Amino acid sequence: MELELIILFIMLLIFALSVFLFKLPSGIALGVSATIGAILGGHYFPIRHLIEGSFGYLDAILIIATAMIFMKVVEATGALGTINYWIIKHFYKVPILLIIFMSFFIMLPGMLTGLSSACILTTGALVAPALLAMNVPRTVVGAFIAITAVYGMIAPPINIPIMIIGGGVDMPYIGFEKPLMLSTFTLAIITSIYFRIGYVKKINLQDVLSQISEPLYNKHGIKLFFPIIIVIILMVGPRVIPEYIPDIGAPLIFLIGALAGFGSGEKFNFFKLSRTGIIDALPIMIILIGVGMFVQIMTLTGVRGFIATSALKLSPALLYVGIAILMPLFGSAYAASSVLGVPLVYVFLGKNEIIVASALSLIAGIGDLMPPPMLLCVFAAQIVKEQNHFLILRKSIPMIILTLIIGILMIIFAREINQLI
Amino acid sequence: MMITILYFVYILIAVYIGIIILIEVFNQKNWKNQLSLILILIPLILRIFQIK
Repeated sequence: MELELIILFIMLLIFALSVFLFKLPSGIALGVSATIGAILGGHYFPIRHLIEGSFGYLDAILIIATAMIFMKVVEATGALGTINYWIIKHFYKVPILLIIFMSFFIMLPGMLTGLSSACILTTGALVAPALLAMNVPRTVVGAFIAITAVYGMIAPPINIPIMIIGGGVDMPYIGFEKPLMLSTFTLAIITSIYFRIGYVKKINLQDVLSQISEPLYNKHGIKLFFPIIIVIILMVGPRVIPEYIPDIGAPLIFLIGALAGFGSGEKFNFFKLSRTGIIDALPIMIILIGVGMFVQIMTLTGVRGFIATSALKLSPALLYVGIAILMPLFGSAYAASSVLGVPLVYVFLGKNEIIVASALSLIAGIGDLMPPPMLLCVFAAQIVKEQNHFLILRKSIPMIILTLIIGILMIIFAREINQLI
Repeated sequence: MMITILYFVYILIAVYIGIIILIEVFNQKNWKNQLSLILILIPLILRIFQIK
């Protein structure tokens, strides 16, 4: 057996033991397994490499932290609650449209932050009472929010798994909008149709509206949406009219958007919301630090190259099945993207790399639902007050399978899809 | 010029987030959360002081 394979096996074993047995957060578990991997590779305690690795995703950490602050501000001003109220009031007569717009609404924070958990903690928490008032079972509501949150995380403009993959293969984060929009919005619509047909029967508008917060548009007017409008302009502007609006970077855009929240709606304590936002994003930020260390040590010990060359030797059928099974089993979109996503882009060189990376991020995104951490299922279970979060995972299985199939088909037909869009 | 301004703005953003994380290190009761926050703080501090 090759040394790299032994190191990889022990690193994964230590990671699993740290999470399952010692109940460590996934990020710390990744750091511990990276340290042991380096010792096994003959590098003793490589503090320089561990710190170097922790810098790998500092940009993404800044985006996540500022985006969470922005989402907390937009929630506190009442803008999100108002949008939720409008969606329900205008579309309750056509339940299929209502559920589709609800899914897009849940996806919104994930699209802006690149964080699936942001969808559940903000828009998901707003939509859940309305869905429960429609007599949809708790586990189904949890599953709907959780799987839609995955699509939100993958949908453009911000997709952290692709940024991670791109960072590993020196691919700029440009040109991903179309394939990501096509895949995620199609899946969100199919998911909505599936849940509408299966679980949403009759909607009593008064029952539903009584469960959600009142709209604040009449009190504050259009300025209620200023923070969202400013963020959209600053994000879209540099691509449409770059001569007038420069690209100032996502973290600054989110902070400007958050500061624009002052006076736009209900009053809020900015510093308090900043603290809440950063604590909510803590599980994800520490995973990014851990992933950075893990990838650095895998590179140092030659494990990363070993995975890439081994994957190249697999037959195509086995490779596709392997991707669909192994990537989600990492239990984290970010971990799967860095460990398997990066070498897999090299494996599929010659196909369209943008479509391939988009598909890999979609498949990796499912990891956020999976054990050991089951982050999204745990958050969704808290929102719908369900004790057993495995039931939420069970209800998500049909959509998980569909998502994996779509992801694999995107890889197989990457060239054809690129010609179509 | 603009790049220089943006550079310092981003350092200020890192300082703001760093301060919040530092406060949370002392406020958190759970040692796992404290350790997580310290690990996030390390690259932020090194970047703020331009050490790396």
